[in-house]
Order: sequence, then structure tokens, then C-alpha cells
Amino acid sequence: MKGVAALAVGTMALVMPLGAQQQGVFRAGVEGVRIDVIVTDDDGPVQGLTSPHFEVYDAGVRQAIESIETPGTMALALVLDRSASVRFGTRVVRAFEPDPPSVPPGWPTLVDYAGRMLSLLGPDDEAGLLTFGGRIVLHARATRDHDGIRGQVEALANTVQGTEPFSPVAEAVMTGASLVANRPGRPVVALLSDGIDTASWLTTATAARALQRAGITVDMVSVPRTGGHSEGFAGGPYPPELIAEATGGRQFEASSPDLAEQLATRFAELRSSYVITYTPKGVEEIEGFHEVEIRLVGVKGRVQARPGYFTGAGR
Amino acid sequence: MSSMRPWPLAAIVSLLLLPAGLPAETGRQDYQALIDEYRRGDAEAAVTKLAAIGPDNIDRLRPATSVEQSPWDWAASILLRTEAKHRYFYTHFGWSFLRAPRSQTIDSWNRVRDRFEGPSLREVRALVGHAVRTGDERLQAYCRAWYIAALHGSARKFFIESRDLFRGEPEVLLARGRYLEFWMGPDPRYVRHYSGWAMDWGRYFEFHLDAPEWNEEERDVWVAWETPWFRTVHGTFGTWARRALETYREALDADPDLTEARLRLGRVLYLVSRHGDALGEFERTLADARTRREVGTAYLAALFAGQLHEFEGRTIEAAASYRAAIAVCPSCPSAPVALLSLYLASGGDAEGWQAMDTLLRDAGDDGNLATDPSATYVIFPGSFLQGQRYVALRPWVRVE
Repeated sequence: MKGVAALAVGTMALVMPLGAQQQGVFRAGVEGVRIDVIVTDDDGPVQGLTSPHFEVYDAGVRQAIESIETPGTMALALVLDRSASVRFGTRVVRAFEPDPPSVPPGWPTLVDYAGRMLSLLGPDDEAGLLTFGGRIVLHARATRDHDGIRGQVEALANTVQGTEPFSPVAEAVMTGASLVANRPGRPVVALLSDGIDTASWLTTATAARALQRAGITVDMVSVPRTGGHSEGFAGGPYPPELIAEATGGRQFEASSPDLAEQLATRFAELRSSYVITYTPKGVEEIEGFHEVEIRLVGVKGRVQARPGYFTGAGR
Repeated sequence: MSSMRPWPLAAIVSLLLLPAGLPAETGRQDYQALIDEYRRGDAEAAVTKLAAIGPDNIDRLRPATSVEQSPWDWAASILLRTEAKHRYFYTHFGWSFLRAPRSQTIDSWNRVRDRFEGPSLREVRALVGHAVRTGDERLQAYCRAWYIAALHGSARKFFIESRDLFRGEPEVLLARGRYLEFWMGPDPRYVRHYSGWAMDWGRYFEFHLDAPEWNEEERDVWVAWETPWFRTVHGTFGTWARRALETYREALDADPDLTEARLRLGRVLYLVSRHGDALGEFERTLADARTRREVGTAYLAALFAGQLHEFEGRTIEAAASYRAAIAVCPSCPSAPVALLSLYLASGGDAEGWQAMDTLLRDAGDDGNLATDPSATYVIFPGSFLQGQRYVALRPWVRVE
């Protein structure tokens, strides 16, 4: 009945006139753009780079870098999918198929990797935790109390109740992003999910554009999807994995035997990332996608960054 | 509320002809204790306890006394079962899947409904018979109100029985319109790649319309190839949209205060690109729902209006509508997330994150945000107000 109670909370607001609502501030053009950049070579992250080592191009136009920082820490939002398809695997969503293949529940694996991610954090890193199934549940805002969050993750492993037939992946990712958006360190959302979104009002495409614009990275640890007549059924042309791609994040398969090592490498990269900021100049003010290219000068290495950002309405 | 209208004679006759026999079973005293708690004590706790029993055993439970001895216990029983079914779906739905790995399919949702509601149907028929025989008008009115409330979120056969009993009444028209709207399929502008659970939506599962590089020409190809019925001589949504519009208008002609019908009328108008008409309906729905303190309806009216404004490129108006939705339901996530997206797209990052911060502050002590009414609206053909409809009936059976 929490939902009903929550709805009741808003009853008093029903008498508020629409015109009395705050309308906020909208800006015509793009102000500062933040690009999180990871530079690696065969030995791992390349550190110690400064502004002269980078060239930034916005829509093909070279930009003046205003600042470059190396936060050295990360702010991690763990967004854990506890919807029915993850909790009960085959037994729910492959119901349409006469002989559905056996797909085990992904929940234990996701909980396990949530715990492993916490153990990879450094003392100055922050972490927050939310879960989503029928409801989005905030378990912890960003904090350095990793043990406290680990305890909450372990408690989740043993819970059975609370699964509802909704799975708002995109909304959960956006909510997770809000936990780390203004925290110190590289903001990262770790989505642990099968990626089946049944209930978000926002589309995955819109969420990807918004987070791309905000400069928040989304990594995804995925378990096999359990639903569908075809490959396209559960994934479609814009599955949540593409949020990771659009935001410069990475996708990991939970079944990968060396996932723990992959995550450790990834966290080291994130901590050593550079934050480059600039204000677009000489770029046509259009609504749409602005491709951003980062080039290295006098340094050999590979650059990981989001491919650009959107301006204008995203829906 | 139309609950005090007389029953149609044909409805009474048809119900009296139906079998109402209830075989004696065990567990009556336990169930009677739950009914007593529901009527005299903690109604919420009674619903939770009955839901926890689950569908495998619930249909064996009966009131301890006959309908002639305590008709209002029977009246409470049918409502308690219906509430418990609703609770089971929303909070305990996973248990049965753990117990029966392969046999539990989506079809079993109907099995669950049958187990919870089958006894309710048998009991209400007996109850109506008793009310008619004894001339108990209040009991007749209650049964009518229960039928109408329950038809909005129940199994198909239940819907058909209620529809046939009260054909042409506004609430029945609303329920019919909701099915027609559901069968329209997803909004091609915003459809998610995976959009539903019910069998009726199976034919829509192959839609691939959520591509980032969307354009009209591409859509036409997909639609023609994968869903040939989607574009017909009747328009994008076939005849479903037209029939839904007609049905909602008919419902509103009969009862202009039926705010959910007006909200849905606006939504269908929006889907068929009649944005001006849709906005008018959303604005009136918001005003009416505020007056009537119908939170879910007011929230969705504001959310839908925000989406419409955003689609039209009216950013300020879209933000105002989203904020109106947030003011109505501070812990519903879709409106603040939509507002965040709007702000991020418009360079107002700080305002967007502030909206999310407020949302998380409004989460309860347990951190739970509300299940957004938009999720229920999109996924199920049932009413997003279903839980509230049941709770509103409790005063009929309570003994204070």
C-alpha cells in the first residue's frame, strides 16, 4: 500500500494552481561541456597528462580546453535489477514459448557482482545503492561507508518478496545518475540487469541522450535475457546496453569467467580518467547530436570517451 | 456515484438462475476471523494475510455463516478476496513462480484471478439473490458498486459478466474503452522495445520503433513489413482508436465527472495526433481531478500534458506540467525523470538534478518510491485506480 500512501501524500498539492508551479531556467545555447576521458596503452591507464596532450573537436571545430582535472576517485551508483525476469529467470517471461530454453535466475549473480564492485572501491570512492522492480527503492545515497552498503546488498540477496511485474530500467538508471551527478570523483552508474524494460515512461533512447549530455557514464553488467520470440523481442534496436555505449561506458557479461578482473581493470581506468571541460565556440547552434572527438598530442594511447552530446529536446 | 440506481430486472433474473451453492470446506473459522478483522479491525492486515495464503488454497475458504445469517460478512468476503487478489499481484506475485517452475506461465495470471475471484463471483451471486429476496436495497447497491469496481481489474469472464449486467453504464463503458485503447498497441512515437506482458500484446512484441535514428519513411517500412494491420484504411491504429474515442465520449456523455474516461479520451486524441483537442481534455481532467482529489488521474493528466508540450517543443509549458505532476505525487518517479531529461536537453542541469534530489528526499523511510501510475496505464488494460476503487468500498462493510 506504499504506492497508495505515496499518492495520498500528494493530495494537498491538488489544490495548487498550475501557474503557481516553478518553471525553472532554460538556456538557449550550450554552456560548459564536460567530457570524461580515459587514456590507456598496453600497460593500462596513462597518467600524468595535461592540457597540451589533448585536442578537443566539437562537430569538427577545435575547442579551447578550459580545464583538465584528474579526480582520482569515483562516485559509483549501483543500480540493481530485482524485477521478476531477473529473479525468476525462465519461469516468468518465456511463458509464450512451447519449449523455453532453461535460463537460470540472474539475481544471485547480480548480487554477487554488486558486492564485488564494492570491494573494488578505494577508501575515497563513494557508492550509492538503489534497486528496482515494481518500485525504485533508494537504499543508500552516495557515501564512503562501503561496509554499510555491502551489508544492504547481502540483505537483498536473501529477500524473496517485493517483486512486481514492472521493470523501469531507464528510469532507474536516471535515478541512479542523480545519486552521483554532483559528487566528487568520476560519476558512474553501474547497471546490473537483464535489460528488459517494461515500465519506464522515458525511452532508453531518451535516457541515453540525457545522460550523454550530462556526462555521466553508465556501465552495464548483464545477465541473459529470458523473454521473447526472437532476438529482437527483448533487445530491440535500442536496448539499455546502448546507454552504456552512448555514455562512454562498458558492457560486461556476468557469465564471463574473468569478469572480476575486467571490473578491477575498469575501476582503475575510471579512477585515472581525465575531466576535460570547454565551452563550445564556433559551433553551429543546432538541436541535435554534437560529435566530440578527443585526440592525443605527443602521446601514444587509446582514448575512451562518450562520442558526443545532444542538445535540444530529446523525446 | 451511481451505486444507488436499481438493478436491471434482467440482471437480477440471470443472477438468480446461476448456481450459488457453496460446498462445506475446512478453514472456515480462520477465514471468518480474517473477515472479522477486515470489518472491525485492521483491514490492511487482513488483506495482507489473505494475499499471503496464495491462490492454491484461497478458494477453499468460506464465511463461517450462511448468507442469510450474516449477509454483510459475505459482502465483506467478496471485497476482501478482491483486494487480496490485487495485493497478491502487486506484492506477492513472485512466490508462486518459485514453487512451480515450469507450469507457471502468464496464463496462470488468469488462474490466480480465477482462484481469488471464482469464490467471489459465487458469493456475490448468492448475495444478490438474498438481497433481492429480502428487499435489502443497501445490500443491492453495495453488490452493484462491487461489481462495477471489480470489473476494472479482473479476469475476462468476470468482465463479461459485469458488462452484461450493467451494459451501457458509464463505468462499464470506461472499462470497455480501456480495452479498446489497450488493443491500439503502443504509441509508435515512444514505444519501448518491450512493452507488455498480456497475451493481447503478443502481436506487438515485434515492433522495432524505438530506433534512435527514427524517421517517417523508415517507420512505414517497418510497420508495413512486421505489422500489416497497424496501418489500415482506418488510420494508424485501425478501428481501435475510433472505437475507443467513441466509447469514452459515450461514457462522458453519461457521466461527465468520470475523470478517468476524460484522461483516456485525451490520451487517445494525443495518439491520433489531435494535440489541441487532447490538451483541452488533459487540462480539464487535471482541474476536475484536483477538485475531486483523484491523485492518480491528476498526476497522469499533468504528465501526459507535459509529454504533449515537449513533443510540440514548448519547453516552458512542458516543465510546468511536469512540475504540476510532481506536486500531485512527489514520490512518483516518471515526472521528475522526464523533467530531468527535459532540463538536461535544455542546458538546465542544476534544476534537473534538483528535481531528482527532491524526489529522493520524498522517498519514504524505507526508500520506496511509488510505482508510477504511468507504468500501470501502459502495461495493463486494467485501471491504474484499481486499488483505490477497492479501498473506497471498505466503508460499506466496516463496523466502526
